[in-house]
Amino acid sequence: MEGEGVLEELVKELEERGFIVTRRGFIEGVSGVKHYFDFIVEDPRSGRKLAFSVTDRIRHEHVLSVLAMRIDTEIPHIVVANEVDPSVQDLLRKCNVFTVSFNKPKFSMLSSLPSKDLKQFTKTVASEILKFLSAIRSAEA
Amino acid sequence: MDEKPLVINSLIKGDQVHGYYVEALPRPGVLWKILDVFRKYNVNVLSINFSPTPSPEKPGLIFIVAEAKGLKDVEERLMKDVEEVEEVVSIEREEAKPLGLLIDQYHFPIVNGLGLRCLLTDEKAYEASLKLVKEHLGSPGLALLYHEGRAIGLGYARLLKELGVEDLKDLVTICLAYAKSHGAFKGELIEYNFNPATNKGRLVLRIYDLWECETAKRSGVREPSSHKTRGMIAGLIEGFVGKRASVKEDKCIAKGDKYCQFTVEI
Repeated sequence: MEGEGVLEELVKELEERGFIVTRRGFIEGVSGVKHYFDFIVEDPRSGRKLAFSVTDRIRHEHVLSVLAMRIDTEIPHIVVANEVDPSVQDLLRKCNVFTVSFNKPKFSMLSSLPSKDLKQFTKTVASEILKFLSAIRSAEA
Repeated sequence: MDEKPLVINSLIKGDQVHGYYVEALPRPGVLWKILDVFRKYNVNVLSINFSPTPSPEKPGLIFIVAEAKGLKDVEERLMKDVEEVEEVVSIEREEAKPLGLLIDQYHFPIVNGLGLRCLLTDEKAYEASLKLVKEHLGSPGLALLYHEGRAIGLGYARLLKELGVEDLKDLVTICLAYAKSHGAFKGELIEYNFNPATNKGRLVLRIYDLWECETAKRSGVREPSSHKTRGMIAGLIEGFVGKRASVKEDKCIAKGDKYCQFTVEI
């Protein structure tokens, strides 16, 4: 997918910020079933985890399996996709599954972004993830 | 105990049978009197189903399936004679449906002894549903089955607590018997080690003829396959002890074992 380069940058950025990033890892859910994720990001200070899936598109037929993984792993989940149906995005958001789509106008030019802008973009996303992790921490406190 | 299948007369193939609903007051000898009418007309009774009566003053329902052979000329008189039995309130004939299928249209809903509605589904329907979930949803689908089972288990824990069950061993024993009576599986508790003071323990359950794994085996799955049942066991125990329990299926008929075996860690 066109965003893979972006993800590589994002992983680098997260690692530089002290996160532990596992590529192509499994998380065992409450059910004992092991779920595959493209990236698992862990905050070493809090032990909190975030799971990332990278896929081409997310449509209604994918919602059930994404939610089942979310329920079973009890870990916030971010789906990065080239194409995300807007109504699916809202539906998943309500269940603590976040989507990053490259079909949005602001991301559509990603593949042609100069490297400086790409860096800026990944820094922004990394900051968002940091905010997200701290939001979970305060919600759970 | 050598178990025998219970044939539910809800769907009988073939137009060679007739079905009769008989409402009768529960009195000693009433069944004998009704069946004696069938004997009198030389009609072969193939099966009889009963529903328990709520009180001795209220009529109970009997569903009789008889061989059609020999009924043609005598059916009207036979039904009249049954109706004339002192304790009989009514008799109705269930008409065969197309293809000669005799389908019970009288009993609804199906309830257990606690009055809880039960749903009868043949395993073919479950097989299709399990296959769909596994094939289309992959590992998340298996997790979904587990959580569905867990929700059911939590419900049973709540129900049995309300009924006064206070001991985990009693809870498991009752549920194993309940599962058998509802055709889900035959199970036994082969290891029980639970300390209520620490709320920790380990249980091992051995399960025979588990529908979920039989279905998986028929579909060609060769790995532990009882995700819904595992979830039910987990939910049952978690709902009772108030904490998470891990349930692993160590042995499974789908992968060639003689039985399925579950280890519960609390």
